[in-house]
Amino acid sequence: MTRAHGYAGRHMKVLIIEDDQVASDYLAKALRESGHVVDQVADGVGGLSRATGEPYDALVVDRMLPRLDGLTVIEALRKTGNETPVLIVSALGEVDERVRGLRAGGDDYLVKPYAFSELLARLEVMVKRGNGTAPVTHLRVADLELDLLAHRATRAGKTIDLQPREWMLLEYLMRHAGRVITRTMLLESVWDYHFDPQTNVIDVHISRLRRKIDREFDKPLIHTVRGAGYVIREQA
Amino acid sequence: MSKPDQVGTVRRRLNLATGGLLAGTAALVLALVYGLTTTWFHDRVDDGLDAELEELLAHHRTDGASGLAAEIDRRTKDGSERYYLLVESFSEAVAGNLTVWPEGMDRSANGWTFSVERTIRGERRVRCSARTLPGDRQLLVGEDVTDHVEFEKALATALLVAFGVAVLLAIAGGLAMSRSLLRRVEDMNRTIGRILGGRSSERVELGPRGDEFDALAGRFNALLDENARLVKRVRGVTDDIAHDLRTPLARVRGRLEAALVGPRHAERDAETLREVIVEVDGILETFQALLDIARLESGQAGELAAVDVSELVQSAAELYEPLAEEAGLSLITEVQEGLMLQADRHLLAQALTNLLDNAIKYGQSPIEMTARHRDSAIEIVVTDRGPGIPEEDRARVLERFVRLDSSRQKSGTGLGLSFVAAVADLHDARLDLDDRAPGLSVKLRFAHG
Repeated sequence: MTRAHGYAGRHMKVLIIEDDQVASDYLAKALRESGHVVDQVADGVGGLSRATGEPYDALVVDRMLPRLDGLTVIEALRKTGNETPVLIVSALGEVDERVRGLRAGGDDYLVKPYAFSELLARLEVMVKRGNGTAPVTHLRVADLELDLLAHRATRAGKTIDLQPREWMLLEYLMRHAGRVITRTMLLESVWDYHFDPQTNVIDVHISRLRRKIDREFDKPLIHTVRGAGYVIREQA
Repeated sequence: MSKPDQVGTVRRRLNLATGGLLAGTAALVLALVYGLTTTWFHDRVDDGLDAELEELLAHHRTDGASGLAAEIDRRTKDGSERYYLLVESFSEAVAGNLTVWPEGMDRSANGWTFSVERTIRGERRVRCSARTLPGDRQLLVGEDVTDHVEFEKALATALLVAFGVAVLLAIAGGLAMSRSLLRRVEDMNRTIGRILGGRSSERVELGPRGDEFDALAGRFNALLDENARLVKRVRGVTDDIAHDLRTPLARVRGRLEAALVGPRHAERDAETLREVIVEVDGILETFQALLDIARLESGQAGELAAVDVSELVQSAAELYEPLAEEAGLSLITEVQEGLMLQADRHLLAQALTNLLDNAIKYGQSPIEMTARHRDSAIEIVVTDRGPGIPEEDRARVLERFVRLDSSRQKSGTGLGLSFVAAVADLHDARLDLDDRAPGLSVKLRFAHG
């Protein structure tokens, strides 16, 4: 597997708690090839003790674990005051299961089978969200500026007129500038839909957005990352 | 499975209960009749005796014992049918037409009855009242109640006979009633036994009266019909699943096998793998959609909460508007403000996007999406001006995997409308497909609340 998609993310230290050895190895390998440091544990008890013993940037926890199930591990972790971002992975995909996972203390929920690019994108966004806590009033990428207070978008000084959803899409991309955002992430954050519409609905929204913020200007900022999603950043 | 030896206890209980009740009622009524009749007689006699006693006592007060005795003699000579006796110390008869104080009777008594031997008429029964007078004297007045006594005996006999008849009738009536009630039950039992034993097309017979048993039979038949429908559907679903999952899986296998047989070529292999992933994603999508529908239909999914339907419809339209525009179709939305429903937001959103997806895929401009109050319900309607769905197919398309021939080539699972139908069911909403000549109208009608 090639180095994934030129993420601007720094190297993370990730703990994978997953009893399916094949899946765990595959994920670990992919993450390492993206430049991250990865530890693997195959059961809930071991995972909990590892997570409390060492600092990690993120945890990837499968729900179905031997000895102690994933949600209980997370709950126990939160009870000790550990706020490490957790990405829950599960074959249980129904919305109520997702809600259960988030209530237990998870930060995001991914349904198996997933595309690796999806997991990586969510992992990076999750970690970054955990780090930045100050409320942001301005977002900027190159000469594109979003004034969140005045609710105005400008590029190279020129005001850009955006529809409400276009604004929400752009804001989300810019809040995670430099990180790959998948279509499902956009659907979740802008529409609060937790299903895959199976069409290129999001793609069309993005091309409209591009027409407004990229077309007339010299440098395109929104880039398509093949097989993964979109990213907003200065370099191609 | 219930124990078969309990069969028959209802009948027995019913018999005992109705029989017992009837007999008990009869006994009560008859006893009452007897009691009331005899009491009435006795009271009448006692009242008369008391009245006479009072008169005689008045005489005693004014004229003393001798005056009383004289009065007694006068009354008997005047032809009074009553019996009089004035005694001293319970023994010495002073006046009257009796000779001896009735044995065991107290000085003051009411309703005491004793026998007297008369020369011509033989033994008579006398009912009397007695009083004590100053000077250790006792006075009694009595009335012949022999006829009354005879009557009472006859009455008692008659009532006992009546009771006996009533008991017999009660038993017979109880048997008849329980048999007629239970016969319906036993008939149903037998029919159901046959149906369970394999004659699955048989149904319980309904009587002409439309009574509670007929209602029960009707409901039971409805249950059997529903069961038959479910069985048929499961059979259909497994056939569908087998076909619609096996086909793409076979394609995947074929592709992989072909690639394996050929020479190794990095770029071509990569392309094959990419294509196979796409196929597998399609299978997973179908699988997920089937799971969703199955969970919906079996009632496992769906949590109702207050949902802003106006916002939901608006946001779905906003999601699909660019896609419609790209396809060269116009999407017009008209949403009334403030429409609220008890619904599952996630499922409803998915259903709406399914409808919009269909409209864009198969429909023609203009596509219209409206949400409004109408007749104490909330209606969401998605229409287009495309080829529509022929009337004969409109019920079919709600089933799984049904794709009309005209749409076979387009992408998708063929499960969109069956998902919408399942979501409608969950919300007790009505789903109507109509012809717009040309075009299709899909209407979801939610009862308020």
